Amino acid sequence: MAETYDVSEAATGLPMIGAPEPRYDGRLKVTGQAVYAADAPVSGALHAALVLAPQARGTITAIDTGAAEAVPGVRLVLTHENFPPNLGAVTTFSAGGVAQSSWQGFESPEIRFAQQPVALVVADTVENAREAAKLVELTVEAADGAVASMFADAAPAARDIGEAVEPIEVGDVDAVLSGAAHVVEARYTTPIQHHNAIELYGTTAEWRAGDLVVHCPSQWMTGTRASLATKFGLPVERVRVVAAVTGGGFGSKATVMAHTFLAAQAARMVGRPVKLYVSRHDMFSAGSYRPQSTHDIRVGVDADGRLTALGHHQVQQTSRMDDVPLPGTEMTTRMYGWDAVRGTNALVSTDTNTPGFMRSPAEVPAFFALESAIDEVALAAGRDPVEVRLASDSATEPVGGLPWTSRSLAECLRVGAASFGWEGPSAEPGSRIRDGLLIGHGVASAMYPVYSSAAVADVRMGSDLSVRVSAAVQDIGGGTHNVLSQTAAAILGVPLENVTVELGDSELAPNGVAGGSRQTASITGAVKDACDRVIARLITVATAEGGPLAGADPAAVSVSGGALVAGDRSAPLREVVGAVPFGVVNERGTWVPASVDRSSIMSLYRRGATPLIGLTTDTHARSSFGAHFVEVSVDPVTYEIRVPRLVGAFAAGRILNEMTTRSQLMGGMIWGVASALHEQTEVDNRAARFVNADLGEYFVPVNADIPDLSIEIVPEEDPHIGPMGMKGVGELGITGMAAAVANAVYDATGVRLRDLPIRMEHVLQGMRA
Amino acid sequence: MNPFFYERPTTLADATSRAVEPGAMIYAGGTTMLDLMKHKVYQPERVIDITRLREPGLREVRRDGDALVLGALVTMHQAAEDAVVKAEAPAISESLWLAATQQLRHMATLGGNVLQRTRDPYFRDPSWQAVITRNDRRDSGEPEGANRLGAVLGTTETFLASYPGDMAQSLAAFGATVEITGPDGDRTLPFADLHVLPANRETPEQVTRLAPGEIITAFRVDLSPATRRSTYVKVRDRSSYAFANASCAAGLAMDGDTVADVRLGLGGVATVPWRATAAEDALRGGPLNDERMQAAAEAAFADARTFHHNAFKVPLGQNTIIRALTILRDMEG
Repeated sequence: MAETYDVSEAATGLPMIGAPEPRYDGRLKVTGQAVYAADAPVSGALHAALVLAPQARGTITAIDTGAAEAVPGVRLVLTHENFPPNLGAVTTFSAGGVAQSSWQGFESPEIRFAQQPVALVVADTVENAREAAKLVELTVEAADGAVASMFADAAPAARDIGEAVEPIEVGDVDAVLSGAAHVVEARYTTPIQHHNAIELYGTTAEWRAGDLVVHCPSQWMTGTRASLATKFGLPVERVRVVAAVTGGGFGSKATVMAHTFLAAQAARMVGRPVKLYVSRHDMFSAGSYRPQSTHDIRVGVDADGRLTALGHHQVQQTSRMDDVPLPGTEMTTRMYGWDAVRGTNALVSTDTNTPGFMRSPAEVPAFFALESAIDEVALAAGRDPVEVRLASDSATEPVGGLPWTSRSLAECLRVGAASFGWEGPSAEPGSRIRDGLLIGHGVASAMYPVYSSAAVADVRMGSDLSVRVSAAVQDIGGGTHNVLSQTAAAILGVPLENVTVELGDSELAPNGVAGGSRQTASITGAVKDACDRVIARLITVATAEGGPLAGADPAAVSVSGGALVAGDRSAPLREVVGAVPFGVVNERGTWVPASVDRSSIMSLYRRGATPLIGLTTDTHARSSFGAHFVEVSVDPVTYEIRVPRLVGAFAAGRILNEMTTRSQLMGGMIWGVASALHEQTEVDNRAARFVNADLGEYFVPVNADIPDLSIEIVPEEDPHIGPMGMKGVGELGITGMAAAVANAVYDATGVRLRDLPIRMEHVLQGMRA
Repeated sequence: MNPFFYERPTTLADATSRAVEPGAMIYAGGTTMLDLMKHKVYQPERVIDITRLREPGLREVRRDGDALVLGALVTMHQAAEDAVVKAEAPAISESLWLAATQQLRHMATLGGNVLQRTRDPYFRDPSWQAVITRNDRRDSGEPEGANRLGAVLGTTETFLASYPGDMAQSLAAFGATVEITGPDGDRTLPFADLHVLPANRETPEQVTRLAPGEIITAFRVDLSPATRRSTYVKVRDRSSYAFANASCAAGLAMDGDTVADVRLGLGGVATVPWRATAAEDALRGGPLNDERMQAAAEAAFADARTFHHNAFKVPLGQNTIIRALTILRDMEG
C-alpha cells in the first residue's frame, strides 16, 4: 500500500529544517552529571569483574577459585559449576529475538572464542573483584584448529547463504559487461572493527522482592526487559530496565549481551545489588563487532560514461554459533540505474563471539567496495567520477523497478562538489602538490536505507501548559530528547522550555530498538499522534456545551498562539486544559507504518520486537543519500596519510534539529575516516585472538586528524516515508567515506588500495613498486 | 593488584636504601608503571614513590657551563617548555612535545620516561603466556605474531619488541651522560650504555644497567653546535597521541659545505634507544647532498632484520633520517 502524507510545514506545524537546539544531555555529560548505568545510585551494591579464557576453543576441565575466594571481600565466584542450568534461552537478534549471541553465560564448560568470559567474581570493592578475577585458575583442554579471522590460512571455506539471503539477479550481468566500454573487476576487503563507545558496558542489577531491576547501557529498553524476563522466567511486568543516558551505542548496545544476564544472576545469588564493570579490554570479546568481509566487484561503464552492470559477491565473517548476514549487496544493486545486477552472499564461520551491528553494518563495507570500484572504472574510462555517478542516477531502483520515495543523490553530488571546489581527478595521480605534500581529491556517494517501525509515545499536558513526553526509547546521542521536545512544543503551540522528555526506562511506552537510524523518524510519528490526540481532546472539551468555543465546528478549530482558535473566537489553551477533569490531558500516541501489519504493535508491547520496513516496500524504495568529497595529503618521504579537508552533502527529508543532525553526520564522517585509515582489530592467528584490545593500540582519529570538516544539508521533502517526512541520519554520514578516502589516496599517489585500513606501509609499498 | 607497601621517602639516601630491598620498584610519575601493575606485568612488593624527594636539583633544568643538566624528576612538560632546552637542544624539546598527551606530560618525569617499557601487546597482557609458547623473555615481542610496530634494529631472531620512547633518541644522539645515585654512592653512565641490547642481556630482566637501589638523578648533555641545530621527526599513523612508527633525533654542525658533526638517534625501529653511528660516519667530513644522505640512511639499516609485518620500517626509517637531515640542512646554522 502506498503511503502518502502531507509533510508540509503547514500540515505538520514543523519547519522543514528545525532550529539548532543544543543537545539536552551535552552539558550533563561534559560536566559529569549524567548518571550512567554503572553510576546507578543503588545502596549496598557489591562489585563484579569478569574472568576471560585465553584459549579460543576447548573445554574447561577444572576451574580453581580457591585463590580468588581467599581475596578479602569476595562474596561469589560464579562459574559454569555453580551457574543454574535451568535459565531460559533468549533468541538471538538474527533469529528474530533480542540476544547478541547464542552464547549467554556459563551454561557449559565449553570455550567458543578467545577471551570468552568464563567466570564472574563478586566482591565488596571494585579492586578486590578485579584482583580476585585475575586469580581464578583455569585448566583447559584446548581444541586445535581455532580460527578468529576469515583471512587466516586455516579459515573454513565460505558457505553460500542463498537460502537465508536470496541472491539478487536482474538481467544478464555477463552479457552487459561484455558489451561495456570499460570493466573493472577487483576484490576489496574490510577488517574487524569494534565500536568502542566511550561508555563501557557497565551494568547494575538488583532484585527487589523478586522483581528484577537492571541498569544497563541499552539501545533497546523494551527488548532488554523481555530478554531478562525470558532468561529468569519472569513476566515482563516484574522486570525493569533503566538507562538514564547512554554514552554511545553505535549498535554495540542494541542487543543484549551475556554479561547482562550474568550480573542479574550474580545479584540473585548474593542477595545484594551487583555492579559489573566490563573493562575496555573485556568489551572486545564481551560484545559484538563489525565482522571482516571481502567483496568481489565487477562493474562496467558504457561509452557514454554510464554505469551499466554490477556483479557483487560478498563474503563475510560470522561466528560458529550464529549466522549474522549483513548483505550490502541489497543496497549496492539498487544504488544506480544498472541495466543488470547480480548480488550474492556467503559466510565464513570463525571462533569468535557473534558479530553484529556497527554503524551502517552492511553499508560501510559494501560501499567501500562499490564506490572504490566506480572510481576505478570512471578513471579507466577517462571520466570524472562525479559525472559517472550523475549519468547513472535513476528515479527507480533496478531490482524491483520501484520508484525512490525521494532521491537527492545528484543534488548532493552537485552541492558537495561546489562546496568543495571539485575540479575532477588529477590529470596524473600525484600531480597536485602543496607544501611538498601530494594532494589527492576523492569522491564517493553515501546512502542509508530508511527503516521505520511501529512506535508508541505518551504525552501529558497540564493546565500550567507543562508538557511531558515519554517513551521507552533511548537517546543514544542523536538528540532524541531535543527533537521530541521540539516536535511536541511545535504541535501543541507551547514554548520549548515547557516540555520535559522522559526516556530510558522500560516502564514507559514500549518501543523497538534504536537501530537502523529509525528511532527519531518512527517515535516522532507517535509523538505527533499523541499531540494530535491531546489537541482533539481539548477541542472536544472546548466545543462542548458550556465550553469556551461551544457550538464551533470541531473540524474548524486549530491551535495558534497558545490558544484554540475557531474563526474569530479563541480560547487560551491554559483555560481549556483547566476545564478538563483534574486539569490534565494524558494521551498515548502510536505510529505504525502503512506497510506494517497494525497487529504487530502487540508484539512490541511484549517483546519490543517490531517488524521493520526498510529499503523497499511494495511500492517504493527508500533511502537517504549523500556525497563525500575528501582531500588527503600524503607525505612523499614519510608516507604519512592525513585528511586536511572533508565536505559532505546529505539529504534526509525533514530535519528536526539542524545542530544535532549536523553533529550526527559529522560523527559519521569522522568515523568513516577512522574506518579508512585507523581502525582495525588485529588477530593473532596462532591464538585466534584479538591483539589490540584497548584504545592505546586500537586507533581512532584525534582532533588534530580532522582539521576542516563541513556539512551541507540539502533540503528534501519526502511525502512517502511517514507523517513527519523524515529519514534517518545516524548512519548516513559514515557510508562511503572510506571509499572517498581511498579514491583520494589514489589521486594523490597513483596507488589503488583495496584493503582497509589504508596505512602508510601500503602507500610506501605501492609507491616504491 | 597485589597488596604492596607504599613508601614515600624525602631524601635520595633514604630512597636508595629502600629501593635496594627485594621486590621494590621506583615510582616517578606512574604513567606507565601503574598500567603495568594493573595488568599484573609488574607486581612490586614495595613501591618507592620518589616524587617527593627534596633535593632541588632533581626538579631543575639548568645550564652548567657547556652542558645542559636535566633533573630526573623534571616533568616532560617542564622540559619541553624550558627556554634553555628549546634554544640549546631543540630536538629534546620537540621529542617531548611529540610524545604522549598534555595530561601525561604533566605527570611523567624524565627519569621514568627513558625507562618506559615496550608497548608490545604481548608484554602488556600476561594472559598471552597461556596460549603462546614463549621464550623466557616476556617483553620480546612475537616474531610470528602481530609485530607491525616491532623493531628491525638491535633485534635477535626471537626478540623484536621496540623501545617506545621519544626523548631517549635525542639523548642517545647527543651522547648524554646519566647521573646515578645508589647504595654504593654516585656514578655516571653513558646514556648509550643505560639500555641493554637484547643480545647482551645476562638475564631476561636486565633491561637496563641500573643496579638494585640505583636511581637516575639527572641527564647531562654536552651542548654543541649540533645540539643547537637539531630537530626531532616523528612518523606515526595519526597526528597526535601515537608512538612512532619511525623517528629520528638529528643534530648537525656544518663547516662550510662539510659536515663537521652529525648526530642521529632512531626511535620506533629499534629494541633500545638507538644511535645510528654508521650513518653519522657516512656523513661526517663530506657535503650534505641527497646521495650522501641516502647512503647514510641505508648504512643506518644495513644490519636490519625484518619480521612478518614490519619490513616497511626499513625504508620508512631511512626516509625519516632523510627528512630530519633535510630539515637541518635547510635550517640556519
